[in-house]
Amino acid sequence: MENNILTLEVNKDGVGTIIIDLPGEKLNVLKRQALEELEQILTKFESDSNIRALVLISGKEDNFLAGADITMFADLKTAEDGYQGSRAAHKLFSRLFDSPKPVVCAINGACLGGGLEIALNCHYRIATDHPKTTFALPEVKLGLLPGATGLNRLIRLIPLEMALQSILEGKNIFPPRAKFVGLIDEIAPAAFLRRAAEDRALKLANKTLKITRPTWPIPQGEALTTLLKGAKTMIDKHTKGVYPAPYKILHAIEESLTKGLEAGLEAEARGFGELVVSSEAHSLIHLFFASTESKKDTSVAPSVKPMKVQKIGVLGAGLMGAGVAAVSTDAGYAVRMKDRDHSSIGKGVAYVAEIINEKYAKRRNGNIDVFKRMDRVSGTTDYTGFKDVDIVIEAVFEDVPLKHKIIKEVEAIMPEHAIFASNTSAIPITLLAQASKRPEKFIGMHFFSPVHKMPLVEIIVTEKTSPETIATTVEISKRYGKTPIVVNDGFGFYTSRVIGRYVMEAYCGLDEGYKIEDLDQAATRVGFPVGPVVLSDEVGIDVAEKAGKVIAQVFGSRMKGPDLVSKVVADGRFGRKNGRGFYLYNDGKKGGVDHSIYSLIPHGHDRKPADLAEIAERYLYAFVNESALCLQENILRNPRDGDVGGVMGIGFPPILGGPFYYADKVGLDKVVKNLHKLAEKYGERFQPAQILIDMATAEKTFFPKK
Amino acid sequence: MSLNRVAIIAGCRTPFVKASGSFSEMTALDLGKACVRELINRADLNPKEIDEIVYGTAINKPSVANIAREVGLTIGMPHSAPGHSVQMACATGARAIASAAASVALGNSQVAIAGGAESLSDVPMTVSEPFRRILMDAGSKKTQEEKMYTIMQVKLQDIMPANISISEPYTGLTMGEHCEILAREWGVSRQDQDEYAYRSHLFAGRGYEAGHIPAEIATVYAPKDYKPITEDDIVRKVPDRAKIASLKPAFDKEFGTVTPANSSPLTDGASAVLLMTEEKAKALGYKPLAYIKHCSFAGLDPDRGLLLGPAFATAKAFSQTKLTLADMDLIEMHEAFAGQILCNLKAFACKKFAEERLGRSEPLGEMNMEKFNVYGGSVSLGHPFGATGARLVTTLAYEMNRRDSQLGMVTICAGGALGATIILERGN
Repeated sequence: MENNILTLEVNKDGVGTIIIDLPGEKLNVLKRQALEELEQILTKFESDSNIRALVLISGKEDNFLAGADITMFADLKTAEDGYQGSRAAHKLFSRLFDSPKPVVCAINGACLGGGLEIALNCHYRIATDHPKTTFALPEVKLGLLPGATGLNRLIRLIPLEMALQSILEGKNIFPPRAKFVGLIDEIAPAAFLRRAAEDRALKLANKTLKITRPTWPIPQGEALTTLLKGAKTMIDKHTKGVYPAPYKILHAIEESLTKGLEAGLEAEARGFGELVVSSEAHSLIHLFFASTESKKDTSVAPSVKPMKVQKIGVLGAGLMGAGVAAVSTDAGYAVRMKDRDHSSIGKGVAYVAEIINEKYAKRRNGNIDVFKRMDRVSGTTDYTGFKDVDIVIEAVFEDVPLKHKIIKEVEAIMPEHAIFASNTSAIPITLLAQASKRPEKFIGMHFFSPVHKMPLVEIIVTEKTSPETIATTVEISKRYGKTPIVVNDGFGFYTSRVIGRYVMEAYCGLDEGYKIEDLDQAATRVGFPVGPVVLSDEVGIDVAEKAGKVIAQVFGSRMKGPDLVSKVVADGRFGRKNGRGFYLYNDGKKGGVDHSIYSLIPHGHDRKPADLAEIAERYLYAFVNESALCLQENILRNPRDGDVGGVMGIGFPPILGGPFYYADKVGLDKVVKNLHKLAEKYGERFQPAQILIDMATAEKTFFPKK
Repeated sequence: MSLNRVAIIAGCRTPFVKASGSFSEMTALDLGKACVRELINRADLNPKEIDEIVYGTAINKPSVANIAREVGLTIGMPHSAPGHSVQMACATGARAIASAAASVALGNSQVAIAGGAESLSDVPMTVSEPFRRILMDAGSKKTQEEKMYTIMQVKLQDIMPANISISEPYTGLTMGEHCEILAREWGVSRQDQDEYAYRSHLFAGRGYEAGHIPAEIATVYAPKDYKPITEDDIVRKVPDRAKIASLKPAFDKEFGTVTPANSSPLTDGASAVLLMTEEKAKALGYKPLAYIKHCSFAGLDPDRGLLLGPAFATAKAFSQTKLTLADMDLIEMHEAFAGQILCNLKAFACKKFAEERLGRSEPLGEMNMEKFNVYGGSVSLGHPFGATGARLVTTLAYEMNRRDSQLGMVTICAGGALGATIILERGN
């Protein structure tokens, strides 16, 4: 009995309360055992006339139910298995929904996925105003759909447009809004939650409580068709059609609303079954586990504790510096920004305000959240206020002498214990650390732009970086809400080196005479969020050119790109920042390809048609091979970090799970064979990494076979 | 019981800017937070060291009952460290410093922040008395209908915004009117006042030139656009006598002498100083600018020279410390009006006044203008009521340090017929 997840307690009024409490864990997740226990309790509830009503509540301090245990899905080998699993859940949860005796759900903390699906099958929902209380159906983020009635129940409860958004984007709904739309019926303080829930359950049983809930008309006929069509257009636009889940979701919703609940549930289960065995879902689930593990892995011994950090000094108040300042104050740190002049700092503070306002201004009492965060930010043109910083994060111009000068200046002022972290995107940390008097406190923290949106931090350690320094930057990254990967030092580290190789491949394509739009489309249609030519416009063509030259120097002829970029830069085309690049810009908005650029590059206006699949393959193999080289050279500590960094930092298609996961799936022997073929056709840059050849020969894989 | 010696470690202020100007989006609380945050950073003090904050505004906002605590909660000092607000009209800042200094002297706090702020862009709006009663009445009604019905009883003339009265409740006169009376009594002419205003701007200009005033100013990134505000915007570094002479009297159109040019203007700003026990300063490695030797506060009959508070407070301070005006190497007197300054200087020097009003056999003394308001004052720099006290103490402390002066004083007149005098000493 003591290993039970669910316990039933019946009070003197005949209200039974199910307490959900997964032993030994901080969060509740739905495991098979819990479902079995629920079934037993329901059988008792249905037959025992002494139990007049039921309450479901969590035994955790601030978590209701974070969703299904995803490892369970690995057992589902076929779409039919998934369908049957979904159908079984329908049957079980509907017993709550169809119960003639009232069922009340009492929610404190996150109520996600399967947790919300259970809640949706209860007759009355009461939730707390705890900051962690949120509602979401995040299944779509794992390439799935809510397959335990959630999809069908939600669209009948809240406004259809909001339901669509929730299911298609997996976004959080907070209690006040949940109450407004009728997702919950009541908000109560956490201390009274159980008492209130039992009281409401009893009153419902006594028929002394009438549920008043807003009803939302469900669009019919023409209106419905238009709405769903609009949703499909949005999906096409956002996902470029590479993710199957949103389409299955739309299909199930359409079935449900045009043919009725039973057809809807059938479509939901079919959809779930097909998705749960799809390679897309497998990839996304792989990434979910990989990033969870990356967050847990500080790369140093567990006995090494992170330093206590209260105040962060940020050097440079440009977009990167101010972005770091924004996430720092948002995480509760005091921030001191330093730049050359007050107007730069003013712009930096304004950018912090923009980010913080965007996140909080619309929330209830949001102005308080904004003030609290803005109050922690200050700026200086000298180094006042740097004597009590715990870490300095440098985000100044990418210039080694400048950075060396700044390192010396700030180290003279910051306290002994403080860490210096450079947010360089490519300069080796070992080179920068030459200017430091305390290389053990010197580290790289590579953020991605825009800092507040991008989920990755690449932490670069040198041979001298101390374990405490690493543990501290990992901890800070996590408090930023980001996933850190810890890599060893080298030119371009992991991310910039691989992305450089990716962009170079596109430049090669241009050199061969392909069209710009083809080179970008080839990437986006396999799931890269941004094409490589657009990307070089975004990053800056001049930056790409400079990086390209250094890369060629460091890595030799293998990494030597075509000469065309220097001509483009010489023409004054730097990309988005000066409104002239491979694409046209109008008032900062990107337009179509700028055809005039062709006169600068080989083949001129005479562009040849492209086999998009073949070009995509070149990108993917360039990515895989360079990632493998990083692993071989010990830049990457493991393939997991490569997948996390590749997807979260530099846009490797999430549906392919990351370069290493993808290589495993293709099969390493096939990868090597294809690389050889590409090398024959395009040259030594495709020469397979030795580690790929060795592993293929030994029939090894990067991740354990399932 | 022995008292701790109270050291002034650092001080700073925001730029002082015209009301409804660059800081119009900021409240006194915002200004206070910005100023204290910068003070702590400039002093390179870990805010966890702070034991107490005393702060204030002259015009309190109903929504911010205790501004000191609100500032304290946001600057990173321990939540366990208390904050209390003081109010003493234009002597608010001086009162805050005296209160914090007392706490440090007694050993209740080792490290304290003191100062004040004012936003005259954000003065609480009041409504007419009939409208206020109707609103209160409506507020007590239960249903929306009843509330609406009550509010509908309001008459149009009642809705017109009430004049924001800055007259003294006790005398019914405004400060400017009191200054006019005082100037007449002491025979201070319009020309004298204008010439003093000219001096104030000229001397402030010198303070800028030398870089001493800018060094005290903390840049504020003012919302909404967060443009850096780095300088005062009232002072004319190169004053123009003709321009000063051209302005019309503000309070007495007919016979008046007090004009906007020879008065302190409506100003937004904040200031703060960092105080510590001598031992704590030593332990944290700070070299104090000066020590607080004495604080006196005094009142007088409002109907007999309301703005003469400096004479009364200084007389009290001198009698308690056995010091004299001649002992002072530097004197900073708050310039509410050029007329008020000149009348006080006359009162300082007047034997009859000393005997009849101050109960002294000898006058306080003839002012040596070489040591007096050496970098201008409120007439030229501006006067955010609550912020003036810590500004004066800051300016004095840094200048004493530069000149290696032994003794200096700040003296302030305040509404309600009050005066404040703070004496600083250097010593070892």
